Amino acid sequence: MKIGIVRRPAFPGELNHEFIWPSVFLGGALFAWAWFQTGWSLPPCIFYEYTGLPCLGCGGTRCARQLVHLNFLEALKFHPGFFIVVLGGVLWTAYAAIFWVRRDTLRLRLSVDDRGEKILRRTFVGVLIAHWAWQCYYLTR
Amino acid sequence: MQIHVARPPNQLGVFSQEEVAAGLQAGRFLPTDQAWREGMSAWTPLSQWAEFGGLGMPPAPSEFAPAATAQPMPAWERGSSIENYFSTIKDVALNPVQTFDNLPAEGGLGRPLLYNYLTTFPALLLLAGLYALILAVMGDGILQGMRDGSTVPSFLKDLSLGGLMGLLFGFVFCVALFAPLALFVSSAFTYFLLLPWSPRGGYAGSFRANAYVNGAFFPLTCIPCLNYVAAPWQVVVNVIALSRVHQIAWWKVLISVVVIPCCLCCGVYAAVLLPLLTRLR
Repeated sequence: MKIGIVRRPAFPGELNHEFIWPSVFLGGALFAWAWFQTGWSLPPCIFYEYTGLPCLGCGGTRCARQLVHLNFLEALKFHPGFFIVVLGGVLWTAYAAIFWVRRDTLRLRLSVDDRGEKILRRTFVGVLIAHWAWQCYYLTR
Repeated sequence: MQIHVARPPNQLGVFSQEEVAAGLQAGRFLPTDQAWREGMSAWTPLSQWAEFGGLGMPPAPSEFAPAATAQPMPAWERGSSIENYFSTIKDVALNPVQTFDNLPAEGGLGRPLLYNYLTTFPALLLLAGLYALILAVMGDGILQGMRDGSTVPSFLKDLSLGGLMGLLFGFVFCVALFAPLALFVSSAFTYFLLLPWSPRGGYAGSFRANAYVNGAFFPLTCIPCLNYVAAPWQVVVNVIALSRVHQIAWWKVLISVVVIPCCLCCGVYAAVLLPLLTRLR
């Protein structure tokens, strides 16, 4: 099994991940900031209204609000997944900035073989279930 | 040593030399697949690797040879069926580079327009039905919340439950009425914004790309929670689609169809909508 990070050149036709994801992240952050400025709220969660349990996205907005106010611990508690996505976005944007400034030709990529991919998929499903269990505990207290 | 193999735009994975050799003989890998291992400065087709030279591979087709074997994409271009209907969503959302590389330049506007309709309206009706159900069950609470809300426009505060449902289905009806017109106009606007970059192909290319991207993503953006992922990804796919169809660099497309419209929309929002919303409240 092999799961690791490799630095390699882009293959012909490969998506430019060093551009796309920082753009999506910064655009999303700008949109979130503008949304919070308007004072509007999101519609209620249908899943929560019917079942009384949070859906996988519940707590995301509260996490974002805490992040805007730099309350990192509270943000992590409200939605660990969203927090990690934002953290990943920050790190990837920082890496992409260095990549562009250095005019690098080698790009960071995940290197996974077949068995590693299977394990990653199972781990992801497991983490998702654990995450939902946490949401059910923390958001319904 | 491990070999990274890719069939653009997808990476197939990391394999040992033996696995690649076996894969080539079994047809799992193609001679045109790109490969790379540590120490190499660029990716090279497997057909040019000395290690796999004796495997009796057919010669790799020339880059400029006509792509006679390439199937038209997305799947809806190959025929109208339920399978192709869903495959098109998959093609556009998960494999946009190859999809829009293989989108036939000719083919008219009818097929993509039909696809756009067939994805947009069932999704819209389902969404309206879902909200109508919620209104039927929890309507009084929602209306009370609207009346108490300080940010809700005043005309919404006076609505009854029937009025709210009427507004919902009226909105769906209006979208049904104006959607084709909006697609034609927005594609014209897109093509107009791309003109400074000398796009290859005409207005039909922009229309076909927009119709498939909007059509494939609309049902996804109607699903609560998924829409937070689907909507930004739609923007990315739209840029890829127009870049491939018109053969323009992605950053030029980005400037034309994202940056400029965003600036315009923000200007209109600040100058017209914001004062209007404030007055309504």
